[in-house]
Amino acid sequence: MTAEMIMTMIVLVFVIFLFVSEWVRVDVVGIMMMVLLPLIGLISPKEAFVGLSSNAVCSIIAVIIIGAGLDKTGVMNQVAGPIVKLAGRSEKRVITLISGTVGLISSMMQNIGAAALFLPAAQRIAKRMEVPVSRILMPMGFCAIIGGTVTLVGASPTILLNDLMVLGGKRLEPFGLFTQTPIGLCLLASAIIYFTLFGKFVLPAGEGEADKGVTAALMKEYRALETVFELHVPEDFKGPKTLEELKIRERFLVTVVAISHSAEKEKTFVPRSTDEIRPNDDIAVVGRKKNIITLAQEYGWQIKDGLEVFAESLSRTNAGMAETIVSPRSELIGKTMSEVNFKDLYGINPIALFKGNKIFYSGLTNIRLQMGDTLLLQGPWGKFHILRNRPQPRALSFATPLEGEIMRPQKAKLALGWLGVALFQIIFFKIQLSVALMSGALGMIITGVLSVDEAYRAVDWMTVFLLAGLIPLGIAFEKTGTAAFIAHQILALIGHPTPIVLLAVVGLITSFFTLVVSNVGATVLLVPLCMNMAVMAGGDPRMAALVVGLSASNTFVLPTHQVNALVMRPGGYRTMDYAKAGAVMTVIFLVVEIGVLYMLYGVK
Amino acid sequence: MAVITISRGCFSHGKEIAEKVAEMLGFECVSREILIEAVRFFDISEKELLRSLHDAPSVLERMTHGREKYLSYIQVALLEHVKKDNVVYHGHAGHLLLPNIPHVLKVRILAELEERVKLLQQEKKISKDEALAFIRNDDRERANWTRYLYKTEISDPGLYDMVLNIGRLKIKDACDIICMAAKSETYTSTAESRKAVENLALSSHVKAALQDICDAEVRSESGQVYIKVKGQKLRKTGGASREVQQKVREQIRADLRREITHKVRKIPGVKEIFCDIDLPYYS
Repeated sequence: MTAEMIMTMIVLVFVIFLFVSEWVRVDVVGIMMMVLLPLIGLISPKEAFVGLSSNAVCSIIAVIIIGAGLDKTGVMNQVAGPIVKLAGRSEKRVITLISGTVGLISSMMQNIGAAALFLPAAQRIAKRMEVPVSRILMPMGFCAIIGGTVTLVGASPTILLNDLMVLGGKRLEPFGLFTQTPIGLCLLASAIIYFTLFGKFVLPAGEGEADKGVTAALMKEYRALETVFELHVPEDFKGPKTLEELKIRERFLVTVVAISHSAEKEKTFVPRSTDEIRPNDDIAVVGRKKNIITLAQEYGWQIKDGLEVFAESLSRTNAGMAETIVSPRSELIGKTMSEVNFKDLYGINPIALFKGNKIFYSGLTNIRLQMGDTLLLQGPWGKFHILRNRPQPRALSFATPLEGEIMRPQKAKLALGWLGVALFQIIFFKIQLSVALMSGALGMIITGVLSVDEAYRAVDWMTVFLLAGLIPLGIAFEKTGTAAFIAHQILALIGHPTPIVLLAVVGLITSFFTLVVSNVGATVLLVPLCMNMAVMAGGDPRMAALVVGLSASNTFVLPTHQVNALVMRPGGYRTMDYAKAGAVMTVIFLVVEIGVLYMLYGVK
Repeated sequence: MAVITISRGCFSHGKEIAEKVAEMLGFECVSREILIEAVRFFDISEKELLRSLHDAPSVLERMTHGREKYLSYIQVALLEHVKKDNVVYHGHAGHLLLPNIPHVLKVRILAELEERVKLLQQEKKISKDEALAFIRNDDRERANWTRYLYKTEISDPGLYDMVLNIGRLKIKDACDIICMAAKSETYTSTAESRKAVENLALSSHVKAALQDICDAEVRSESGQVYIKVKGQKLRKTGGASREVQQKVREQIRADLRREITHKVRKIPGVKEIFCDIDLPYYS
C-alpha cells in the first residue's frame, strides 16, 4: 500500500461519513472533492475540474433542458389524456398502462417529472373507477424510478458510467444509449406484473386525499360556487338569444365561463353579455349545483356528467381561478368593470366581487371598484400571467398563488421533433451522447420552444456539481490503485466467485449503498471497485459497472426518495408500506437484473 | 384544588403515600389506569406501552423515536385526569409529563436502600442479593430512561418541589407535609393555571395524533393550534429541471398540510389550525 492509497482511503472514509451524516449537502461534498483532491496532490488540478466538461455533465444538462422543453409545450399532458381513455375500467389495465407509460416517459426524461405529471390523472381515474388510489400510485412511482434504467440518460448513475469506466489508465468502450434497454424493459415489466398480481396484498387499501389545488379551494371558500359544469343546448332551443336576454347571472347566480358554438367550431372563453347562445351550443358554467339544475330545467338544457367539449381547455393545467385585490393606485379605482371593458382588456371572467363584507355574484360589472375590493377571476392561466406581468402600478394584485404556467402547446411538435433529431443522431450516426443531446436542446432554444434563459433556469446545478465533483473522486480512486487494492483484499476474503455470482453480490452491495448514500455517490464509489473485482474474477468489467449503475436505482424501501415522497400522502401510504412493498420490489429488481444479464448478455 | 405528582423508586412506599394523601385530601389517585386508558384511546398494545414507560430505550427505538410516541399517548391520557383537577398521580414521569403548570406539586419520595430491600424480600420471598440486584437494576433503568428522553437526572432535586426521604421521616409525616403544601395557595389551581392545563392537553393530543405523520412542534392557546413542521428530507432519484423540483417540493408540502389539518380538525377542542411547514429540502 502506497502513501497515496492511504490518503485516498482517508478521503473515501471522509466522503462516506459526510454522505451518511449529511452534515453538508451531497453537491457540497462534490465541490469539496474538486478542491481537496488536487490540494493534497492525488490528482492534477486539470483533472479536478474534468468533471465539469465530462460527457455525463453535458448530457445531463441537455437532458434536463430537453425535458423542460417537453414540459413547457405540454407534450406530456397530451399523452396523459389518451392513456386515461385507453385504460377503460379494468384495475389491472389501469395499473399497467399508467405505470408503463410513466416508466417509458421517465426513460427519456426526469422520473420525478413523469410521476408528477401523471399523479393528478391517476388520482382522477382511481376516483372514477372507485379503486383505492393507493393501488395505483405506488406502482406508478416505482415504475417512474425503474424507467430511469431503460436508457443510459434516464438516471444520473448510468449517465456517469461512461466517464467512470477507466481501468488501468485505459478508457473502456462506452455504453450506447440503449445497451441496457433489455434489462430496463424487463425490470419495468416485472414491476408491473408484481403489482398487478400481488398489489392487493402488499399495498394498503388506503384512500389518500385527492389533490384539489387552489381553484377548488377558492370554490369552496365562495359558498355560491361548487364546480364547473358543462351544459348542452338542445336542437329545439328557441334561439339565438344573448346572455343578457337569458339573464343567467341575475336569475340563477350562475356565471357562464365559456361557450362553444358547434356550428362555427368556435370557443369563447370570455363570454360577453352580447354573446349569443344558439341551438347545439355547449356552455361551461360556474355556480351552485342547485342553481345550475334550476337553470337547466328552466331552459331545457342538458347537464353533462363531466366536462367534454371543455375537458382540455378548462382542465386544471390550462385554466382556473385566482383571487385578486384592487391595488392602491390601480387604474380600476372609481370605475365599473363595464366602463373599462374588463373582459376585453384582460381576457378573464369576473366571477364574484367581495366588497366590504358582502359577496356579489351578479351585477358586478356595474359596481364601482375601490381599493381593496377582492375580485374572484376565472380564465386561462396564460391570461393571468399576462395580467401579473404588467408594469407597475398593477391594476390587480394576486392574493392566491397562480397554479398554472405559461404553456406553448403550438410548439409541441417542434419539441418532439428535436428530441427525435437527438435520438436519430445517437442511434444512426453513433454521435456521442452529449453532443447529440445538446444539439437537440439547442434546437429547442433556437426554434423558441423555450428561451435560453428558461433553459439556464431549468438546469439543476445541484445535480451538475454533484456529478462534476464526484467524477474526480472516482478518477483518484482508480488512478492511485486504491480500487484495485481493496478489490484484491475483498476477493482474497470471499474467494473467487464466478462472474455472475460476483455481479449478484455487486448488485446487492450497490442496492444497500444507494439507500445509505446518494445514488450518484454509490455509483462513484463502487464502479471503480467493482470493475477491478470483475477483472480479477475473470469477468467483464463493463458489466460490473452496468450492474452498479442500474442497481443505484434500486431505491424502493424508503419514502425519502423524491418520487416515493411525492406519492406518499396522495396515496395515503405510511413508511411501513414502503418497507413492505419496496422490500419485495428490491429483491425482484435484483433477481430480474441478474437473470437478464445471465440470459441475454452472456455473463455466466 | 391541586395536582400532586409523586415520583418514586420501586418499593419506596410511594404508592402507599400517594394513596394516603389522596384519601386525606379526597383526591382521585391515579397510576396504572392512565396506561389502560391510553391503550384504549389510541388502540395500542399494553405490553409495549408498559415497556416504553420503564425500560430505557433500545438503540432502534432511539433512532425511530418509538418511545416518544408512547409517551405522548400517556401524556394525553394523564392530562384528561389533570383537567378534572384534584388528582394524585404516582405513575412514572408525572413531573416531566406536566411541564409549566403552576398548580402541580412535584414530590419525590426516597427510602433507605435496606428498607426497600426488606420490603421487596417480604413481598416476593426472595434472597437479599436477588432483591438488591432487582432494585439496583430498576433504579438504573429509570435513570437511563429520563436521561435519554428528557435529558435530566432523575435524582436531581431541582426537578421537584419537595424531596422526602422515608426513614426517620415516617409515612404519616410525609403525608401531612404533602397535604399541607397541597392546600397552600401556591398550589391552588387558578383560572389561568387551568387554562395552561387545557392548552397542554390539547397540544399533547394534537402531537400524539400527528405522531405517525411527521415530527411537529405543537403549541396551543384556547383552541387555536399552532403547528410547526421542519422540512422533509428528499433524496434525488434522477435529475430534473428546477421548475419541476420546485413544483414537487410545493406539492409535497401542500399534501402534508392537508393531511395534518384533516387529522387535527377531528380532535375535540380544536377551533383553528395554524400550520407552518417548511419546504422539503434535498439532502
